[in-house]
Amino acid sequence: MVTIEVKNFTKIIRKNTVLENISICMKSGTIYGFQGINGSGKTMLMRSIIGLIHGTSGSILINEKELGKEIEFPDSIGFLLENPAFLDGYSGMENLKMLTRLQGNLSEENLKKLLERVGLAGAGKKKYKKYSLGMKQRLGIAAAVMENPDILILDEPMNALDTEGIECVKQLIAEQKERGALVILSCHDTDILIHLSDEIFKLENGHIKEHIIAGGDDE
Amino acid sequence: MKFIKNILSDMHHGIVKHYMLFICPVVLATIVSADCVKKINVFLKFEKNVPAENSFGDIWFCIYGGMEKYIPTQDNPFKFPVIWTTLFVICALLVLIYPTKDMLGMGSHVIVAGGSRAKWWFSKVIWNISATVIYHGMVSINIMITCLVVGIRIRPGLNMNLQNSIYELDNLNEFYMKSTIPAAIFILPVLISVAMNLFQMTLTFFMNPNYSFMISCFLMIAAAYMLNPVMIYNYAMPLRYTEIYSLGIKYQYGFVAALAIGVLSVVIGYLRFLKYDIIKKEDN
Repeated sequence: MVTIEVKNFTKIIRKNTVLENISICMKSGTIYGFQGINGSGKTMLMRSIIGLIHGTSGSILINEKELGKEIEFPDSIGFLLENPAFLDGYSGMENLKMLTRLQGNLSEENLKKLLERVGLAGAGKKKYKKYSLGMKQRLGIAAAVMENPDILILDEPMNALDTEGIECVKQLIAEQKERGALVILSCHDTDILIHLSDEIFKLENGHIKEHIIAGGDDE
Repeated sequence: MKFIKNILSDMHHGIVKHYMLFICPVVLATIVSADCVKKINVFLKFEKNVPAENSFGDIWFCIYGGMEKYIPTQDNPFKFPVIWTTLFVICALLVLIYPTKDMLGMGSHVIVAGGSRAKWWFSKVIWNISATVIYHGMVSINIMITCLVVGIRIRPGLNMNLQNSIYELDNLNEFYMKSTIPAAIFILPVLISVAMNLFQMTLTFFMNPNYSFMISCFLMIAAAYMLNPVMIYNYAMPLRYTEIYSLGIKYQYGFVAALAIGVLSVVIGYLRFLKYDIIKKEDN
């Protein structure tokens, strides 16, 4: 069971308020959709929850521990932020191996299964620089979910994916929710976001404009 | 354990995978050593009456010597020491890109997986020091190979008559004419390089890496122009040590300066990185 509590979180970068007074509560086994146009603050908020960005004021609590003070990063987190970037000279498999060595050490067999799962069965040995955009995206998703993290953050995971890829990712996200992960998702395709999310936060100019609960009332 | 994994990962991706970059010091040292050997041969041919035992130290000085104090006069235009500057500029360039590149994309996964910013930073510090030492080590190994090939003794001696003919030195301190150079003199330029590369890495948290590199280059040229203990790169020019040049600087102070700059850079870089936003500039 994991909880994320964002309390009056504000981020100002070079006199530009990118997030203002954001307050959200999130818990395991739920998919949270972040919706908004480019520059609305979705990615910044995701980066803040990962611990890559520090707030100007307010706080983010992961399991009641303050990020940046009590803990530097959430204990168990997987993420894909916009464009995935791996090491060009390495194959997809080598990139995943490198990451898993730092995290938990998944076996090669498990990594192969994972690559198959995201539709990269035959491309595991291919160098990353030779991957198409869609393949890079699939590898990014594989890296995010491979350790079965408690918190999964996916920023535009459907980018550059074909219909089959989108279906695959939708299924993967649903599976992550089923096993109890807290999933934060952003997607420009409103239909997909509504279909997958249990709750949606609409962001505009760094504010939460609307909070929609699936099957419930707007806040 | 994660820290060790971080270090191994940095060594692998920052050094092993970029082994081509480490060919630069080999090429540079080979060209300069060959040129120096040629000068030695010319010297031996024309200076038959002068005691002339040449050694590793002579070739090393051709590369690391730097330049004497520059005294600006109308008939003495400033000529920066090309070989010395190239040597240190390439080294600064070699350690410039990897840390900032490693912070984004895949690197952000590595930082989060490591679980601590401190681990990432200190791993980069160890990588930076290792890369710099390997770089200078390769130059020295190359000089040794040259010595073995042309039959020059591998000893830390310095033939000041030869150096004088190469650099046209004034105000020579002839103490080391027939003596050996202390090991400290061979070590100090490497230590200065380590300290300044750490300083450059810390600067990248405050400005664009290109600007931090430009500052490094400026400090090198400024040191060549001005013999002043504040211009830290003076301590990386053995031709300016009082042991060689009577109006020069005491190299012993260079160790204190290198240590102070190195430690301060690491501490300031650490404190800065704790609060640093890991973000692409265009996301700002």
